[in-house]
Amino acid sequence: MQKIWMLLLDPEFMHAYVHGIVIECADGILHRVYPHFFTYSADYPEKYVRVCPRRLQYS
Amino acid sequence: METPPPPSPAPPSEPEILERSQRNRRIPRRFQDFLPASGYLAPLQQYAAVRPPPLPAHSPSKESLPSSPESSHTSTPDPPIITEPNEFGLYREYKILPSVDPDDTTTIANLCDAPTFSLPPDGLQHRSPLCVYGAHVADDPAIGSSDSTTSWFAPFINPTICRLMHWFYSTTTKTLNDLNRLVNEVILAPDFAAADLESFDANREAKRLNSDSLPTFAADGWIKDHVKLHLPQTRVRHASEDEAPTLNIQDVWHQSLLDIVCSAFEDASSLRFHLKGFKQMWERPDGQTERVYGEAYTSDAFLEMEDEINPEPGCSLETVVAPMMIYSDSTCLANFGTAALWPAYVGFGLMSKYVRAIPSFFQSHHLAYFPVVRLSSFSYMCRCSKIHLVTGQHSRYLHRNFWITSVEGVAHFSEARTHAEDMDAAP
Repeated sequence: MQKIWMLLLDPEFMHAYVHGIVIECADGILHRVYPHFFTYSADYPEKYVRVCPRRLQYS
Repeated sequence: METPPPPSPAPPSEPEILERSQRNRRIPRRFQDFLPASGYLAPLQQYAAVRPPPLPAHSPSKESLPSSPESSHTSTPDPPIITEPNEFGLYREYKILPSVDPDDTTTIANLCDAPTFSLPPDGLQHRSPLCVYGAHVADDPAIGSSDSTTSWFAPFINPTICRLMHWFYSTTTKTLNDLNRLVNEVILAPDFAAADLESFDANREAKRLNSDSLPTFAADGWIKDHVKLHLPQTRVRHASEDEAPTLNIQDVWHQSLLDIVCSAFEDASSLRFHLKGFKQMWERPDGQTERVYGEAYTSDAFLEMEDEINPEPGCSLETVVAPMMIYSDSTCLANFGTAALWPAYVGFGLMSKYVRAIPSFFQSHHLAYFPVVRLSSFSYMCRCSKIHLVTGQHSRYLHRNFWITSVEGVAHFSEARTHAEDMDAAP
């Protein structure tokens, strides 16, 4: 699951994470949008799959 | 503050019919429903009036001397922009006023969703369920995109079958209205051709939908990827993780996070976004004020996110922080059997939860489908290694901020820094 998250957090997204991305909204106005992670909700078994403690332990 | 608008009197033409008296009938006030932050069926613009900033008692010379060098050096935060309280005493504290306040146009009709309501329909409630998969898929074939260069009807072989199958799957029970739609949207469509339906087989067409190479997915940024897992091996020490035996997992379907953000903001539903966070405050009848929590964009965590971003030099656009709320859970697909998917969704906290939670608004964007590694593919690995599964003893790591920190750590330090510098260096 962490590997898939590494796929999702691609360089393009990471650039937008730091510098924002200019998007023309539905009303035709340009905005600079900074995507950030607010929450990640999941149930208990998924949480410990997700945080992957063993890998981070060794890093 | 304005009082709520009085109930509108009945139209003068109606009382002539079967009316005993000429009194105007009106709905009792207790039956009138209104939003806690809105008037009845009227865009209220309740927060449009900005209260004049109170004179700061502790530093009265701050505003009168804007050009003094001392005041520019002292980094006291700007006083918040406070709006006038509405009829309930709720008001907002902005740091920066947004260009648009979605509550200005929100009426009670926008928040009600029942077939028996006679309220004027909301445009957002007539959305294709496919819009959660992306903007291109959401182009409803029944509405008809006449772009013949791209095969919008994929995976079906011609438009007629596509319209027919779309009609069939659009509702679960067929009514007379659906029959009307069949005639209007399928048979009377300009590209309808009876010759297309020769040797039509519904079973075969349904199987086409199950074929995993859906071109519509690829057009919408759906990526079929694969991941390699390095697995540990007992009693074998590897010099690096790269030398460990790998397990290749195919068929990881996911969408680009950036595409989701873009499509969410380009969609008409983004007009409901609160572009700036604020503090919702309540002025109590006894004169004290109290913080009101309830939405993502009024939370302290979001306000801290807004403070964290660094404005791009030379950019005068309005900055918006998009708080992504991600949710993933393994989901059973049927009442019987073991068919299951493990999807991850993205919601945007800029939208009020009352709007976001309406199912017909389709505000949960599909992000990825996690594959479940079957035991059969694991057995190969188990022959050559004993896999240490993550056990419950690590549950002490399960702090909420743990994952957030790890993601932001990735964002700030490892990859983002290098890639961002690369992309900045590129012309």
